[in-house]
Amino acid sequence: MNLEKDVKITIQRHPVEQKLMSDFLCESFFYEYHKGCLSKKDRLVFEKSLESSQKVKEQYSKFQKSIKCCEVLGSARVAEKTLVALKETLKKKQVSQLKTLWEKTPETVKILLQSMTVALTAAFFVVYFPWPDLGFLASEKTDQSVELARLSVELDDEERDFQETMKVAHNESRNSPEEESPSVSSKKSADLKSENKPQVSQPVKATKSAKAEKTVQTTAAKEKPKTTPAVREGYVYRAFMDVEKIDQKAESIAQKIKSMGGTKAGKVELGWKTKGGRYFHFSLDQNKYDEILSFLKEFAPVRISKDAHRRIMPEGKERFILWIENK
Amino acid sequence: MTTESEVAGKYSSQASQSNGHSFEAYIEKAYLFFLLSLLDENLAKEASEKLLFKLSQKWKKQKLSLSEQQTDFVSISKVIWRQKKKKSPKIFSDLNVSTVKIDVNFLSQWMRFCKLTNENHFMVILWSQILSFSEESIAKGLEQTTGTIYYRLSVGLKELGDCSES
Repeated sequence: MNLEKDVKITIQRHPVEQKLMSDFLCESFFYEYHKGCLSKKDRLVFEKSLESSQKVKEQYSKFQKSIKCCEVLGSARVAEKTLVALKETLKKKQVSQLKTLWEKTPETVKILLQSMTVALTAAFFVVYFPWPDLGFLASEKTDQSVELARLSVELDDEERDFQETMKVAHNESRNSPEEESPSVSSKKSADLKSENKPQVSQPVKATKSAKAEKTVQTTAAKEKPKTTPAVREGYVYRAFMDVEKIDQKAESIAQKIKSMGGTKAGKVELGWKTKGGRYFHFSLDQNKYDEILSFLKEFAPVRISKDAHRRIMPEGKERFILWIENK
Repeated sequence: MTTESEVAGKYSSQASQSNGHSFEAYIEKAYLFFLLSLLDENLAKEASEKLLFKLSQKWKKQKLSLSEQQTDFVSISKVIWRQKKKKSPKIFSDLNVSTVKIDVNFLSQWMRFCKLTNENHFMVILWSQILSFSEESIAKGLEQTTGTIYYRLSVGLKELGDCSES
């Protein structure tokens, strides 16, 4: 390093006016002279110095030989086979580097990536697979949809029936028990056709059940539809009772309905306990109408009305909704 | 007389402005460099694979000029050469070169030179005179001044010339 610094200093301090270079300095400029990097003035001085010294001449001759040697070595050609082998190895290394990168990846990240790939593939398959082309799957799907829709409608109907019944019951309770049943029934009944026109429920004496038994007029029962209209309309009998010992009564009513071959028409069981009362939604043979009414009258006066309903019952069947409350 | 900075300016080749060579051009250079510096074909193959792989990794990310490519080549090849030289043979006389078409007389001269000289000198000669890299790129790659590179070249070439006579 010291020697290198010395040379640098020498280069800088070299006087331009100097006619000849020393042997040492002349030798140190061999390479610059060879490359043609010396200025015209410097080149002349160098050449003069080179001519004047035999020792420097010999050294320069060696220098030229070394340049020749370098040129020969630089022009050497590597065999094609070796170059191809090197290229192939390089490619393999690049591939193996990717493998190593994967191996170095943490296990959790690997699992995450793999599961994401599987999930995406599955999602793509499910979305883009031509399912409708597979007939059996398509029909199954449709059936399921219909079934779900039907259940949903049924549940809605049940809820609606219950709400309407409660509404009618409340309207009735607001009016005097002796008076005619509320306008709800009459209003709804107006929708029905003449044969099926709802019968206005009769005033009921709520105080004494024995007396009430006589006074209750169930015109609906008497004038119940006997003919089937050309275009049938749906209807339902809504009955209301205020009884004592509601639990016992409800149980015996439920048993009676079952013994008469009645079946629950909605989703809830017969005598469903809710909102301080019992709810019976059932269907019964048409010819059992009188029997069930007589049975109910034994417990308390019955207020009954025939209301329009979206459901049309099969021939010979009646639909009842009975609501009983504790007196 | 010319100052060092002037010399450096004159020597800066067009390489620094021009676009870099394709990667293939360096495959042969890499092999030749390690063959003449390690004097062993197997070691040269291993080392050049390593160098080329590193260069390919570095160069694929960005497009470099010729000067930048040469600088990278010099700096990385020097590191790899140092790692591999521990395994290189101590006696160079029985070098059997089958992978390169080369004049045996000049190869012998080169081997004698490698045996006698300082590694700094023959490495610089290899990059500059045999692989034709610019002195400026070599200086950057070795983190030295251009003047130092010239000095090493002058001394190295003189020594190489001496080896031709012995």
